Amino acid sequence: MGGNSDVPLIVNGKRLDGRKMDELRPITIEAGVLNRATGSAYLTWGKNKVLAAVYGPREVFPKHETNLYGSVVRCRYMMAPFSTEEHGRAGPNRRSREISKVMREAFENIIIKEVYPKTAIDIYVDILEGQGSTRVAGLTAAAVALANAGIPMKDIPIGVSVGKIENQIAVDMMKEEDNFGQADIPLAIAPASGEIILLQMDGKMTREEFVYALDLAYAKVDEIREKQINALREFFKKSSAAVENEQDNSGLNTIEQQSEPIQQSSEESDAGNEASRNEDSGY
Amino acid sequence: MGKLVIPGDLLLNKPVRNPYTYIKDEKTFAAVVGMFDEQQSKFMPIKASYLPSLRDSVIGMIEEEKPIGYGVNLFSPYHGLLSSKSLRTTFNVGDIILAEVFEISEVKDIWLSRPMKLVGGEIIDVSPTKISRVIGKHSSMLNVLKAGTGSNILVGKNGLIWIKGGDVPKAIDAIQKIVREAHTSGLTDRIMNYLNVTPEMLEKFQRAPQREFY
Repeated sequence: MGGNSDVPLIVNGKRLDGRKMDELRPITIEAGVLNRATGSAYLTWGKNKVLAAVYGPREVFPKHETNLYGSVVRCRYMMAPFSTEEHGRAGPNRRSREISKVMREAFENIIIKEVYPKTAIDIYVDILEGQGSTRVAGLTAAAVALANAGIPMKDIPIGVSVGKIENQIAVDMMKEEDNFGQADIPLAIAPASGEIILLQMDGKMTREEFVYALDLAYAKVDEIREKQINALREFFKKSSAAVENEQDNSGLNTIEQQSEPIQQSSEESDAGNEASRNEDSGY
Repeated sequence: MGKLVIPGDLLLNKPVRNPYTYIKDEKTFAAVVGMFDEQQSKFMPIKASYLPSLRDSVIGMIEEEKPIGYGVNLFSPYHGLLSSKSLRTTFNVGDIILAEVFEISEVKDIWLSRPMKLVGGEIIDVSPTKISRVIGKHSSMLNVLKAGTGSNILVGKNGLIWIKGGDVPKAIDAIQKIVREAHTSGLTDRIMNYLNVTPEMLEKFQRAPQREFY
């Protein structure tokens, strides 16, 4: 980090995995993957694989941490021992505690804590495979999990990293660029207000480079946000259309199959019935 | 009926206070994922934890005996308290009760009153935001469920539904269908079709005022 490295990071004008400087790795997000969690999300970001789960609002243990005026937000970021090339040690370490803290502070700015006083909201982020920029990937997944859990919040934050490799500014740092590049900035942005809720920096950059890097990150906000919204939309479709699927499997209940697809026509009949029923009962 | 909104989406250009929305610059924004009906400006969250309000009937389990009464697990972020002062009966740990919220303190202690012990039957839990749909306008949906299955059904606002007697599996099926399709309109009619309920069958429920537990 800092100086020029011996490892080539840009080959023929392209990065090691063939991306352009302002190109993200492919992202997929799925919401509601865990049954027992209040909300959850599974995200793949390039080779990163992240599982985020949200529990709560629930009772605070230990009791003395209770906040009478709002909920306590707790966050745990953890890399699985098998998530990196070398097998690591299980359990928290200095790095994961730091990331848990900055992630918690990011979400404390987003969650509307006053709605559920005296409760705790627990966010668990587990990195199953880590290939660079895992904290922003984890934050993006945790944001979807929070929305999936129905926790009131001002916005769905997104995470993205920018950095400097071989004197050029690039977005979405992968492992090699993170290790051998000159600078690395993980960023979390609340898209609706445009506020930055997490910013860390490792390495050196000039002021101009930093401003350019921020612009590059902001340009990618919509692309990531789109993925998050789609995940939530898909989950809603899946959970509300479960009846139709069951029917497809069993082939039972002809009444249902007829009444399912036609929504517009049934609305009219409903309005009529509603009115007549109201007259009958005298409301 | 409505469109899907996510946290941060603009709902209204005027400030309206609601636990599931927030106000910024005199405008109202969504705070949770939900369905927003622009015509009626009605916002229904898809999933949310139970927030107590006065005179809610809730279903809970007696969890512990305390000097002042009983602690009641309401399967929501907050616990209920049942003062034994006005009680004529005693309860055991593990009893299921239906009770009414009669006081909420500023630190969200929920005081319950008028408990009724529920013996037997089955309990299912649904999202508390869908409960209004399970009851329906003037209990219309609940009457359909009762008429269609012959079951005795009690609904707690905290998301628990107690069903006893009649065709219990059919009632559970119908309730799960209501929950899945809670965002669509014309649901009462579809449930009537589903349970083969005719308007005549509903008449006796409409005539008799519904006071389940007073």
